[in-house]
Amino acid sequence: MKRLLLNVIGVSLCLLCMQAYAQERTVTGTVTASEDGAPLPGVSVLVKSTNTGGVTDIDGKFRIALSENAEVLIFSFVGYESQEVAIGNQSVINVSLKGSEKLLEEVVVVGYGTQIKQDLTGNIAKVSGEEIKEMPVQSFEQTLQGRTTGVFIESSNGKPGEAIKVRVRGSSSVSASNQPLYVVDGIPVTSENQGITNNQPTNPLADINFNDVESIEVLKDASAAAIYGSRAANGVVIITTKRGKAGKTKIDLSYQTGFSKPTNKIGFLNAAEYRELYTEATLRYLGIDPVTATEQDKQDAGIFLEETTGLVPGFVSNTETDENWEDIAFQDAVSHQANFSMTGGNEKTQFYIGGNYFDQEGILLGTGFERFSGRLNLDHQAFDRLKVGGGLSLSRTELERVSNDNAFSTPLQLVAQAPVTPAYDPETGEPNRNTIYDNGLVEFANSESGTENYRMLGNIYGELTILPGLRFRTDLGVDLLDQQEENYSGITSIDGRPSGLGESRKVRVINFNTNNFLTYSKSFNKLHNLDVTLGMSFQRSSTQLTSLQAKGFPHDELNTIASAVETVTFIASEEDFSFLSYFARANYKFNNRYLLNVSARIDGSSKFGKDNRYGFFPAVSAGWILSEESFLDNLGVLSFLKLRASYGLTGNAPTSNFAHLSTYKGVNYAGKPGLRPWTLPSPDLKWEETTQMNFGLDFGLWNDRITGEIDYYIKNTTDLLLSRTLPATSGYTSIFENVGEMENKGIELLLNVAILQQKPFSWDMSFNIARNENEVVKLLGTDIIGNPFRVREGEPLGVFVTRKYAGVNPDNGDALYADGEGGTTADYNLAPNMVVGDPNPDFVGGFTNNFSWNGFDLNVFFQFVQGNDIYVGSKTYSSSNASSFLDNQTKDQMRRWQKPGDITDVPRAELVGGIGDQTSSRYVEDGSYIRLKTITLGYNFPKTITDKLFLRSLRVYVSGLNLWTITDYTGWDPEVNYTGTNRSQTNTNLIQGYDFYTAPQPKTWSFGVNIGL
Amino acid sequence: MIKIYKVHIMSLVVAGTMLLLTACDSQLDIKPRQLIKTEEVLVDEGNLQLVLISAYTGLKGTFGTNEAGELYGGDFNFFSELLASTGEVTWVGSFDQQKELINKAVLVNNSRVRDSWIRAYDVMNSLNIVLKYLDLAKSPESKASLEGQALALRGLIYFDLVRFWGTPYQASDSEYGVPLVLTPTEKVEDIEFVPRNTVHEVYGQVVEDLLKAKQLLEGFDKNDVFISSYAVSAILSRVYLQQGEFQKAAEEANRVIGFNVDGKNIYKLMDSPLKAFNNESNSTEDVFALQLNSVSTSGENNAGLTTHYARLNGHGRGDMRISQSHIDLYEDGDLRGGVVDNLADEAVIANVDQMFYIGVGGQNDGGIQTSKYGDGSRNISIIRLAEMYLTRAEANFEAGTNIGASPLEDINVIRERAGLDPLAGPLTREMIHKERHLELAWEGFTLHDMKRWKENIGSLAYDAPELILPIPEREIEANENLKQLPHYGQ
Repeated sequence: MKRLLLNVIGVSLCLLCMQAYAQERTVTGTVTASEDGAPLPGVSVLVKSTNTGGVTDIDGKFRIALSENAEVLIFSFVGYESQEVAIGNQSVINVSLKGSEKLLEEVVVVGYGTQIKQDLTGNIAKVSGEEIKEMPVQSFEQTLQGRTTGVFIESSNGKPGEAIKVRVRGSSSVSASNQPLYVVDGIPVTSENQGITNNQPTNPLADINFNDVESIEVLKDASAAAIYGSRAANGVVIITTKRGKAGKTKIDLSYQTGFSKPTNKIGFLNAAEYRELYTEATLRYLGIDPVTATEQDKQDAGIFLEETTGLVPGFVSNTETDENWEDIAFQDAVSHQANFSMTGGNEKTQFYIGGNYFDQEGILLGTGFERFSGRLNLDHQAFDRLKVGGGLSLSRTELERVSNDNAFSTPLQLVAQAPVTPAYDPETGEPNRNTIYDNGLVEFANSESGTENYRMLGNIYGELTILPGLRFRTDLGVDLLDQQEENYSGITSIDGRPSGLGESRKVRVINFNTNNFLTYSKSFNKLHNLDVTLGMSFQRSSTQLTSLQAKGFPHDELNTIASAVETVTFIASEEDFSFLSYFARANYKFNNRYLLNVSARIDGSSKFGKDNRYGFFPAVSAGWILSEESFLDNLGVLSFLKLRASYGLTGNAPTSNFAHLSTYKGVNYAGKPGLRPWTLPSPDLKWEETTQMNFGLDFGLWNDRITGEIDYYIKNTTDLLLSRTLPATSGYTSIFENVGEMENKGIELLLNVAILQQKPFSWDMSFNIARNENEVVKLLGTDIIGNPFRVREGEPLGVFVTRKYAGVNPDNGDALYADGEGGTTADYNLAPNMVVGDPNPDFVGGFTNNFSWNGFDLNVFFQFVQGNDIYVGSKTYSSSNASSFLDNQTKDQMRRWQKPGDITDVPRAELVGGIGDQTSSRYVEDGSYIRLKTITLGYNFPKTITDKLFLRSLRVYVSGLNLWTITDYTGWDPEVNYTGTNRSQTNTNLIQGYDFYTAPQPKTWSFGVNIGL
Repeated sequence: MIKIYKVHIMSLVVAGTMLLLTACDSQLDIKPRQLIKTEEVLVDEGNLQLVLISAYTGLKGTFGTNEAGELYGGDFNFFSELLASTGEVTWVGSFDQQKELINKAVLVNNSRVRDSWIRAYDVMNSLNIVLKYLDLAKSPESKASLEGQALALRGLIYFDLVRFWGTPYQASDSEYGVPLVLTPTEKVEDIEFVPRNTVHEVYGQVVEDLLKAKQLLEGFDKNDVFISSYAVSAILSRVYLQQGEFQKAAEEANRVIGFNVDGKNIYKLMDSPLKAFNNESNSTEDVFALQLNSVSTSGENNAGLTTHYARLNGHGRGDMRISQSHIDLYEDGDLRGGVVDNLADEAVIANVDQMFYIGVGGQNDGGIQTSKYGDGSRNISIIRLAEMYLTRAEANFEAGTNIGASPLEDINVIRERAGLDPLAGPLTREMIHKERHLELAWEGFTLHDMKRWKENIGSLAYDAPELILPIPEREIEANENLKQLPHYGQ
């Protein structure tokens, strides 16, 4: 993989340093890569102990004139192990180079350039496209989960194409975004949800086909990220797509099919249990003690429930039905993925073409994802000094969706239905309309909801070599996202009655970006190496939205707004912002062991008032490669040792584009326009600043058989952009200001071990673990209050603050709460709020093992999250001892208190009694888990077979995703993040670890074949 | 030579490009498209009028798409009817907030209670802005209109705030009123951490605002959409009734009933009770109504009057289920007590010809629902003429006066419109109370009337703290000067 990039560099080098020598005899040959036999261009071929030599051409061929005393040739190439070959009297020498396992020589993409890993002074996590390509997920962030040290990644739920939470070294902001900046081939891309506000956010990054990705770099510390200045406080994720490679045109084809089920089912009461529990609850409601109730009383209570109230159809009359509604909410999901790529070119022009089709059904009824994408990357050496090129990707994704997690019509709320009521009408076979709650299956049968994205990412560049070592690069990029949402709830559906409700919503986001920069690299006396970058960039983003909602459709077939008779909502709006930036960086290396990096960026943004518009974000870092020092020469096992330290400033801007202004907003009073006060002025609003200090140690042992990185960091955010809580009597509930401080500190450890390298067997493993501690150090005024999510001084972001559940009074079955003085109280209002949970994990990490043997390879990858709490909001209905309403209950509710003296943690059942169903620590659970994220067994057919089949390569594999999860969590799946209905940026940051009928992750078996031509 | 020349050209191009791009600071000047800066708003009378209109929209509880059902759009009705319920209505929805109200065990973090509190003061701020910038008015007339309307709405809101969040009005004052905020917040420095005012202080402010509004608005009484001096009189009659100032209450109600132009009464009872509801524009019976249409509702999904009261095809969820015990209160033949029990599943409010119906069309159907709020896009009556007759009757009865008409005559106006025989007398207090209860059923009067009449609600005394709303927890935390009722702790 990395070879692709290296080859490009190699070719350029080759063009620069071809020299001719006039000597007596010549030797020729071809250099190929051992792994696939492909010719390697740009390999340096040197006659040992001389300066004579050359490099291989585009076909991997070389021709070298030899002097009399030439004895040995050295073949070397970045990323490959060097090889020495005795010449003897051969005139043709063919060499096959083996890929180097030395990670330290890896090329790492940094902002506006690349660096060799060994020379890095900042902290960057890298994942190659090769590692992630076979995963049956929609978006690349999902593939990074557990693979990038110190990056916490969490899907919001198991529905495909919805938002993914990514936190690089914790959350640094309260009311500005905590998501990293995503840069694809130099363009910051649109990554924020553009979907409707009353459904879960979607993920525009799913438009990107990650099979086209060469590598993903996560810039974590200030030194690495500060070149992105104001956007870098949450880290920067740089995505580099594959480029073409000179040589014979190569074609790769792959196909994969997968079968998914939910990772877990909870299990709800069956009909008999439901009847037992709700009869007991109803008896209490009717004032009859269930302990002394007669059979007749019980019968009457059932009749009351079914007939008098008419609420539970079939409670007494239907003894046949025992419906498992949970099973109905899920479907066995099938997915297909086909991928195509072609790469090739000549010395002057190289191309990469990629194509992808991905079709995935969701495990939840009515969900699915489909993507078509194509990419063309082109590079051309126009003149000696000018290189031009570009990339263009087009994609179309379609998301099949269901209602939000809090809607009756969403499939997972089917679990609330009574098991005594059939899901389908036994006579008609149609979804049963006579149910406690509106039957979501009606919605499923009569509604459509889809989001279609067309996405274009395009960039062109020119790179001019002004003088040797001095280059100027300019690029222009456009990210165009065109999203069309069509939602239609039919005439007979729950949400659409009585005449159909249609919505058509169109969003267009245009992101225009240009980078222009000079780079200068120079080496002096082989002792000093200097790399300087200086440039500017400008970005303008414009989002246009048009949305129409209308009702009154003549027929479900005529469901475009054109056929509707009455408008419900209409919106057309535009939001723009721009960033203007200047940046500079210098890397200095002395004697291959002392490294210094200084960078700075000035950012200007339209999001601030004129006086606070520009921010300055400098960073400095240094490294010392101790292992190059002579005093460490004979330390035996220690093959590499580097110390790193960095310190720098990064920034963050508000999500809202006009947070500093005092504004009014238009409102509608039945056709009369009005103006409503909207925001208070915040004229001093400025950049949120995060200073980050990082100390790191990189090491290699036993000739780099073991390599590792240890990092410690402290991230301090001051002048927090914060939506400060105000007393509502002021007419406002909050104001956006720079107040408060937040701190993240942590430790990261990465360890790679080549455990066994004895042909034909090899085994290597990689382990990473990170701990981050988040604390809101200072907050002006009161908490930011959610239920139960809070921002509170001295606590981590989003802690759960509510009543502490203290079990059940054995005398009467009341729910008890801690009264704050060591005792308990049954009066919720008198129980004080306290911190009862923290959604931020203590540790996150991953553990990978790769085994290979004679063409077989096995990858086993575990991912884990430890120490985070989840607030299970849906349990106020589903695990509320039949005292909330009539929802079916989880099995554990059968443990309810029944008679005086019972010792249990589930209060008495009492119909609509509200006994212990309020927000409290009763519904807080540990969300730690360890998951067998992927396991893949593959077989690469040997050359003898592929040659016969006229193939370059052939691989088949079987792979499992989320096969096994160990957790104490009693919900569906601990990887959850329901974002609620009010998705202000503050709420998005605040609400973490919230489960509200949130769909579990899919458990997927995939089978695939890869063919190389 | 040529090469060197090329290099120079290129360097120039590079330098030029860099320079060009440095000059784009102006690219950072972007104006909002959906928001307008305050300094562009508070410049003329027209805009001030628009700010006032936003307050009217606020009264129905919807400003944005996510918020709905606060204040008169739903909650002020539900708070009253649920807290006062002793079985005439049951809550069959899954929402905990309303369940807490009907169980008389309201939690301090009840989100409906919180949101109405927030919305009330939000609207108040708009009104205070209008009052501060009255000098923008171009004429004395328009100034009087703006000021009168703003004061009237402010009086109305404070009256309801103190009725819900304050202890009941009594001769001796109580420290548990609500905070009075009479100046706008225009910048963060304006914010005061206000304590509660006493109940008497709040009532005093309410009466002062309303009396001034009445005087200012006199002469602008054509408009049936915005608040008129007669609507202000109607609100005053409510306030005086709550205070036990019966004669004043009768006088204000009498003024509303007697409003005429050239001897022709402006307000008239509709010819049948049901016609007073579900109207697209104000009926002749509406003294003050909130204007709704399909794009400007009080919320139809999770909140709002229709959401919880209606259970028709596509309208409402039938959460507020009326009990047979309520229906049984109506005499035979009472047009206000009929129940339709044979609606088709597809029925909408146009198909309903009685004041109650058995709900149809899905979840929670099969219960008795009121027909008063059958469609979320129809106007919400805040004051109907019928209330004025009942108020005049009760106030005259208590004061022993016959202002405008005798109590019996007024009661009989209401009875006859309901298709009932007139009463012969003698009229008793119970008869007046019952007539009021039936005529104004499910319109948000019950709690306040019970407190006026000092009647127990179940086992709770009329002044029990359970029947007073807690100040929202977020507010207590945000403002340490606010004192919670001891019943609610902290």
